[in-house]
Amino acid sequence: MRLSKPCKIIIVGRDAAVWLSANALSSAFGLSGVSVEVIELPSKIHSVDVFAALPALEPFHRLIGLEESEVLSETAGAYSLGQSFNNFSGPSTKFFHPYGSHGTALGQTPFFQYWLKARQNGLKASLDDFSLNAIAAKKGKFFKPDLEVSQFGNANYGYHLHALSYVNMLRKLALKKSLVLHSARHISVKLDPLTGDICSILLNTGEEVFGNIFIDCTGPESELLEGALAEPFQPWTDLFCLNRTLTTKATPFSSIPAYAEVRAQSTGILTVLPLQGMTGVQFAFHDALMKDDEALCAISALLDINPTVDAVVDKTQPGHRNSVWRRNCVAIGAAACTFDHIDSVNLQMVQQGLVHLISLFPLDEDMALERNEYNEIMHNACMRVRDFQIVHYRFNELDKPLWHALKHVSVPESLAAKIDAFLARGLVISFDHETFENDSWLSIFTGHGLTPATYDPVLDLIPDDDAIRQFIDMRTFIGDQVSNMSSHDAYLELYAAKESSCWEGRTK
Amino acid sequence: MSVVILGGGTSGWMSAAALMEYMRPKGKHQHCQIRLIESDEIGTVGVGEATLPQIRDFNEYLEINEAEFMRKTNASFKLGIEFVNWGKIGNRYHHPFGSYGLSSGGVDPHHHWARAKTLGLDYPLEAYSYAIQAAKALKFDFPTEDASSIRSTFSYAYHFDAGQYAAFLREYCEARGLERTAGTVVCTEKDENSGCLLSITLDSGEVVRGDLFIDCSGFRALLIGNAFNTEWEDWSKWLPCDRAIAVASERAGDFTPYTRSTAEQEGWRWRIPLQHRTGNGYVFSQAFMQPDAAYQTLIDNLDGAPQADPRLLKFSAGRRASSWVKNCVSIGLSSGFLEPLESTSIHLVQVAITNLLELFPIRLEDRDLTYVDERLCREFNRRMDLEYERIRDFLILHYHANTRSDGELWKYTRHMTIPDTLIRKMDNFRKRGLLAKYKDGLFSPASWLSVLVGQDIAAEGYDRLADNFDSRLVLQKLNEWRDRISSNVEAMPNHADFVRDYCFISQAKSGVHYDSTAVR
Repeated sequence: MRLSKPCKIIIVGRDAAVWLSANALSSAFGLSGVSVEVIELPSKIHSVDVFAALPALEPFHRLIGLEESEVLSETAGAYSLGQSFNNFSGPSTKFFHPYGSHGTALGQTPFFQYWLKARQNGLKASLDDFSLNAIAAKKGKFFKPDLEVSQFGNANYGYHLHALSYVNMLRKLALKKSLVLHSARHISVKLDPLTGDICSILLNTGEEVFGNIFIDCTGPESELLEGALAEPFQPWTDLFCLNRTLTTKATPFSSIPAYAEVRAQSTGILTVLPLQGMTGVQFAFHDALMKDDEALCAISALLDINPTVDAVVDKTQPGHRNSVWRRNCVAIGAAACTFDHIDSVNLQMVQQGLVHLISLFPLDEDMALERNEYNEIMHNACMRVRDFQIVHYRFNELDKPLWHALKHVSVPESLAAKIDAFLARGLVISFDHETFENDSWLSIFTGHGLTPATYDPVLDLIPDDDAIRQFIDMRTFIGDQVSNMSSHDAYLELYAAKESSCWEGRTK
Repeated sequence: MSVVILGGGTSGWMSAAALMEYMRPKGKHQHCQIRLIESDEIGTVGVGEATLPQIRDFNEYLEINEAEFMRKTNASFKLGIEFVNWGKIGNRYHHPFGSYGLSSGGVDPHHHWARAKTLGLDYPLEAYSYAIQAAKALKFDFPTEDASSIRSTFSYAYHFDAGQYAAFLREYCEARGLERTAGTVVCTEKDENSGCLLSITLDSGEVVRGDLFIDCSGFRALLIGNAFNTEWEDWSKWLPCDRAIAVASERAGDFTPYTRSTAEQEGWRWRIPLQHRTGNGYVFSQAFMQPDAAYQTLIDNLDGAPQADPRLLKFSAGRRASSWVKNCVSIGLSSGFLEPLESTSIHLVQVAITNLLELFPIRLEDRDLTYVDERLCREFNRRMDLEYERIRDFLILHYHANTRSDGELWKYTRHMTIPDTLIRKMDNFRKRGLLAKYKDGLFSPASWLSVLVGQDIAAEGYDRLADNFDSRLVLQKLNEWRDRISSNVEAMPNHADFVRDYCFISQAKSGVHYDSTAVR
């Protein structure tokens, strides 16, 4: 048995990626002789930024020792049962992407197949009508699945979190763990002239920090992986062309919706992320069609926002790097891969990067094997998410020049196979390392107007009466459940009331 | 819609039975007609007598009564496979149907086991497998679904007489009205435009038309091979065994709840205990050994008198480049062959059937008679490719990881170039006990672990995450786990008694399951 060497992890960067990494790595290895040091660079988070988190964040929080109610109250957060996609198939069309399933399987055949057949026979009820998440969200309710609900189907939830408060909370938590913190305005990277590995980070203060493995959390600039180790960025310009994002805030909803709204506009995509003390607003657009201040005026007018509040516009450039682990440097978050804003996956990908890094954490200085495995897994995970995001654009039905252009994306082979199987039979091919499981794919394929040519022919051998009765039962179940649920507001009040002045104090 | 199944071996009758159930009119509708054509002259191969736990899902789908099925096929229970002399002479290990403990805190159980070894707790891996301990004690009982019980950590399959299983399924189908025709195929007719098969003509002169043809004609591959000329991908460079001699013997020796596979100088022998006899065979490569010598070794090692003349079987490892082409789906040996080392033949039949049912083609009203949605075909072939490739790598591992110096076969397989996918799996394990986890297809990480450890691929390291756990607690849990296994196994009934009681006495008790005192 080879002995593990004592190991020093140096995490370099800023904001959520740095503090999630610091928490996760010290929780995973803190007791086993691994030491963690953080080199913190100046934050780039704005007071108007909001994180949207997918359901997987909750178990991750538990691993690093965070309580849900603490997270929500400290960040003035809200629950999210899914996303409402509006206008993607033309004016006043909408569908809900729930963090959960639709209906209940009837015997051997999935619910979706029954639904397809019923639709062909004139059923009016949409897929959303069979989603507990969707109906609860539309009625302003919130719930956590109990046994009865679990027997009905999957139901899950994510969060909307005030970014700055969240990062501060993560930072506070990490500093309680045994780690060393260095602060720097900027850094330079020193390579070992013999091996080419990173051997230390030089801070502007003159301090030099040595380590065995370096985690690059410097964001899109990728100061270690690209800056020092020359791993190039591969932009997905052909696939996602909205290249500017305006971020601002609106007054809080009087009753806070437990979902995000993603609205297709003639000039871009508007995302509304409700929180307890404010409403996060993001607008993605293209700089050739709109100037920054035009975007600000348009969105402010649309949402009745005072345009003098903080608003920031950033460049958005989705893309990936082929190797997110090079030599002794692993990039986490935007330093590795940047996604389009539409499905709120950025935090999720930070988390995935860490989960796989922990399970493949190198045993010694020869990291080739771990590197290969990790790079392959992360590449696949990244491409599967990208496939999912392409669907939103590829199948839009907006009669606007921008959207005509967005429609004409080339579809990667893996997505083409998925689309084929769906169009042929309403099936989802699920590859390894999917972030979005079958229920999500069914939801967005259907929501964006794809209609399978056939349903499972076995359904033609079964009399419809039984299925009709069960459909009615399902809708009754959902109706009863939702009417008994407490409102999202009441839920937040009870479990996650925001701490006074938690974020307001920090807004200018 | 009419479906024609060509061939009546295990795969033909399994396909027919599943289709009968699938197409069973559950109301007044009836859209599908199923026919099965088999030759009375051509025998079936029927070697596959050992199965995998998934077969239980198949039987359940058909709503088959387990005790009746076991009685009629002379079945016994199977908890795994014992490998003897694989890797090196004198080596023995089990590949069980079950786990070696539970994952905790994101760490798979074998990493805790490996760490415990460095802390001085030196028990072999198999001490942590319920299935192996029960198998070695020649015991059996049903697993429980109660996840908190140690008896939920294993699964089981069957050994059965494949000929009797086919007959059992034939009875099942005929009782449900399946039309069976005896005959051999004289010629086939294809539609010139679409390239689809229109009909097959039998020796009786009858022309059998169909919308969908299922080729279960075995190695002859009359439709997928002869009519469609689908390319055969040869894998014999990795799996050189191409012959088997099979012989049944009188029931004698231990009534093991497991298959035994014993590596020999130029191949390996199987031993499969059934209620009425023991199935035996010797698998070898024609290139390295003559059938006579194989026969002799087989006979010399029987633990009961032979019951019939031995049969020589010829095969070749590989698969069709596409197992579904146009309106012809090949299922069973016509679609590919992997030797019976891990009892995957019947499983591959089952997987093909399951996929066919999920992707079952239908005729659209605005299409030609023979229109088949290519997209469904492609998905079927993608899934089957994945299954075959994963099983292939697993089988190769058994041969490749050896240090035997006695036979040409072992020398060849040790030095041959193996698929990159397997090299990687072995390297990953060797360095840090890393096991491949994938969504679809055999085998599970625990199966890979069994064979890798069993054949002396030692892991040099383990997950660093394991070091984060309190060592005393880990050792305590491992000790408890072994204790729970041994006290539970002790309380289990003997396999032979269990089979007898379950198949025959339980009949009188109207099928009440045996219920042992639960020791946890």
